[in-house]
Amino acid sequence: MRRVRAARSWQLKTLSDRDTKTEYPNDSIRADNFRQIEHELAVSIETSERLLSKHNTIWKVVAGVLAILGTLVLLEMLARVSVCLIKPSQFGDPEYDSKYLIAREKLPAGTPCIYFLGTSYTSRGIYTDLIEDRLKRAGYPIVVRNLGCSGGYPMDVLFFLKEALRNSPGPFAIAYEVNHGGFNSTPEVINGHGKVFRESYLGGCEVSDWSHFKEADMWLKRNLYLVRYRAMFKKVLSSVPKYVFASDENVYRARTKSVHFESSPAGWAPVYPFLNDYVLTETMRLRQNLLGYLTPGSDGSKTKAKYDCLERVYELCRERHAPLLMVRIPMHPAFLKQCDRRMQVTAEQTAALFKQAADIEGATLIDIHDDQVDAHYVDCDHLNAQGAVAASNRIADALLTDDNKSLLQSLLGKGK
Amino acid sequence: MNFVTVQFVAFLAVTWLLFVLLPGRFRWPLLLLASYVFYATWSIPFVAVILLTTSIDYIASLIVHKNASPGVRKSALWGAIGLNLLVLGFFKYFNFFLDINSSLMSALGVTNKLPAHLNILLPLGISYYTFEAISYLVDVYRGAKPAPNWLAYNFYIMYFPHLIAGPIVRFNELWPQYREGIRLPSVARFGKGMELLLLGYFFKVVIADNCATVSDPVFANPHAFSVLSIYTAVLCFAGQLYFDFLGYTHIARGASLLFNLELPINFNHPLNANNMANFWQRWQISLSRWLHDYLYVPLGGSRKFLPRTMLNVFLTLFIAGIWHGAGWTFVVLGTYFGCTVAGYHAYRRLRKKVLKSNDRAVTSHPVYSAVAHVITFTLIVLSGVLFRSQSLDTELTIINHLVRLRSLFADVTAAIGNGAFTEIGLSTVMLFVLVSGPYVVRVYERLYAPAPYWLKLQTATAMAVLCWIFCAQYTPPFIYFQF
Repeated sequence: MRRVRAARSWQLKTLSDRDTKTEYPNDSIRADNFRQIEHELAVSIETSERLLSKHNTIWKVVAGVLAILGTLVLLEMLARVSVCLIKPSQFGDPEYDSKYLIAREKLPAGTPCIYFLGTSYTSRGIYTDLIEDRLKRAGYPIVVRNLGCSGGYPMDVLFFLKEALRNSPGPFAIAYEVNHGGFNSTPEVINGHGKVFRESYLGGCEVSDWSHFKEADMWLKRNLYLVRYRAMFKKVLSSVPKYVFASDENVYRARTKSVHFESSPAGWAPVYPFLNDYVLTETMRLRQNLLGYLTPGSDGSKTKAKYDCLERVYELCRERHAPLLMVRIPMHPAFLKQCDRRMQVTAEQTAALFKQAADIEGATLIDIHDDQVDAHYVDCDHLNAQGAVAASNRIADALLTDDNKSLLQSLLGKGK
Repeated sequence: MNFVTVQFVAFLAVTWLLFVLLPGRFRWPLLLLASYVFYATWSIPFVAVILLTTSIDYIASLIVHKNASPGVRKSALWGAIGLNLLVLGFFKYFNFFLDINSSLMSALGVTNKLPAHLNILLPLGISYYTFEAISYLVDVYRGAKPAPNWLAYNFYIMYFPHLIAGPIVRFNELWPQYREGIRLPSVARFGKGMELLLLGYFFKVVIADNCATVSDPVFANPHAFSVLSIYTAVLCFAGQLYFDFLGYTHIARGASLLFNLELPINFNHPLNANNMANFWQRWQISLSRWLHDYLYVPLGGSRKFLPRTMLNVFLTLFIAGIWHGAGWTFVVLGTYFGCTVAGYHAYRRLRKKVLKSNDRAVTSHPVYSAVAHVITFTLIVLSGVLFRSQSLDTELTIINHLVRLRSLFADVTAAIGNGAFTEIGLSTVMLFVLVSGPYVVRVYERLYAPAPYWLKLQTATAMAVLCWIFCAQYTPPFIYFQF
């Protein structure tokens, strides 16, 4: 301390000597600079004096740590409040969370289960509780779960399936959606989404036993909203200027705007609006670039990333000797016609293609695509609640035919 | 390794811990090793390119320094500079030459025997380290002492914070800082380094990347957007470019301060320049300084008569333009910079001639100053269009939209009438963000500097969390990493 004081008095003396020297008598800027330096030096010496005080340093460290922790706690609380106010999902899509909850639900050991995988067509169009009920009444107590998810990215579906199999390791069958549309994104979109997905909470849920680092990461994601909903906060914060300046209340209320859904424990479908000509034409126009599920057309690489994931699903079935079903979901006849026209195939050829794909994979094809009732659709390719009930009944009927009863029996047999 | 990744933060933390644990004289060799690891994470084969060029440059510098014969010295200097430019030219411009050749051949109706395109990957940071190598060689030729050994020279080139996109440092600026080993940074320096790092990340991920979300779709397909949208996108791109590069420089300088090595500043509120020459004194200062010392002055600088000065200015800035990239858009950019700055020199000479002793009074008048600022700002923002556009067609489309002031007025009126304030609001905010730099710095210094210690830590924590949130999912690399 004494040494610091001595240094201080020496330096101040030197500065004041320099200041009074007539080296720059008319240079006010230089004089100002000296005063500035003197002031800064005085401040820095004072600071170093304080720093040298051991007691003070310890308190400073403690105060610093407390300040940082306090801020983090405050931000975490803010995150929790924000999550309560907006729909909580790391994708801005609560459907992922609900599907994840279904996938994580543990079933008693040996319980047989059928998993429906697919896009929004499956997610909204198949009421698994209805199918489950029908099977149960027919003497097949098999659990049926809908893991279809809007957006239809195969990586999500694969993840949900793996998660479900990890939590419920009983015998299972997979019913995979096939149609003209879904999963038909470009590799860039699919791979980009895959990256987003892998880095998200759901992606991180796949904890390997060997990775303590990842377990720690998952612990944080489970317990801290700030970590878990990080991507969602980014999305919300990035949209702030849009919310601030937008006049249309729908823009800033979009996140909390409620839509009337008729919910089902494992599936849902919008009741309103029913299909009309305008919606049909408009949705057909929007969907026209999303065709080609089994016919990649001139660009064969377009769907490669998708097929890689599908292949993994098939592998999972083969590894565990699980039966595979392919479900051809209903679509509006006008839309199907447009699909066939654009892909330059006839309806018969399309049907043959699906059959061929099912035969190659050793799968059972359940073809219920020919629902021609307008009142069953909400747009050109999504079923409404009434359509979902009809489709689910038809699937249950198909499962309970004599041809497929053996499949159900084998599932039950394995379960025992 | 992108600066905005967890890997880089982890790399920085591990390197710093080792740096603290090692004795002073082993610290810069450690940083050299870390720099090689940093570069090798991007490409191992290109490490060989750097090793080769740095070895040749070092040997050339020794020949230049030790040999008394002017002929030998000159040959060694030009040989080494030529080799550096040849490597840069091959990696950066060869495909552009092939494009020109292919167009020429087809125009002349001659069969083209050369390939139309080669798959050449550009080594990261090559434009920057080539300039540093040239500055070192020229300095040694001019009488400066060369590096005492190859490792010391190699460290100057490879030091990772400035390797990829500058600031362009000179050997005699960096060498004294590690000549006698590197000491640990003081608490104040460490704090300053952390502050720069945080601000850098904030500029990049919070401001620049969000500006990109507005400008990218418009530059991808300008035909599909209204005049007002294009104005908004152009302003947002100016913000994106500035804050992206400013963010990078802050991170580079901040990371370097953690290792007690100071890198020069690179920006001084360039968008507040009052003429284009002044802009180049404020934008990428280390590059401007390099161009001034190693190109403009050797060309004759402003010592000759006005047309020659203008030609020197034009050539210097034309090279600055094409240094940014190989393509016709960069040729246009270089020409634009050359013309605007050379034009300013001519205007200044004329103004001084006309106004004579009144020149100072007129130029310091607030109205003149305001007009000068507005014109310069417009020219700078316009240069952003030339920089960002992927093709000459896009450039022309955007400029064509920008000059339609009547359509702009109609768009603004319609937007106000419909109550759609998003674009008007964004443009206003961007304008404010772009020009308010000096005032924000002043407020920052007045409010933040005297704030209590714990409050500073709290602000820093909140900012760090904000940056971390904005890094979620995907963060695009820095714009200047491609050069």
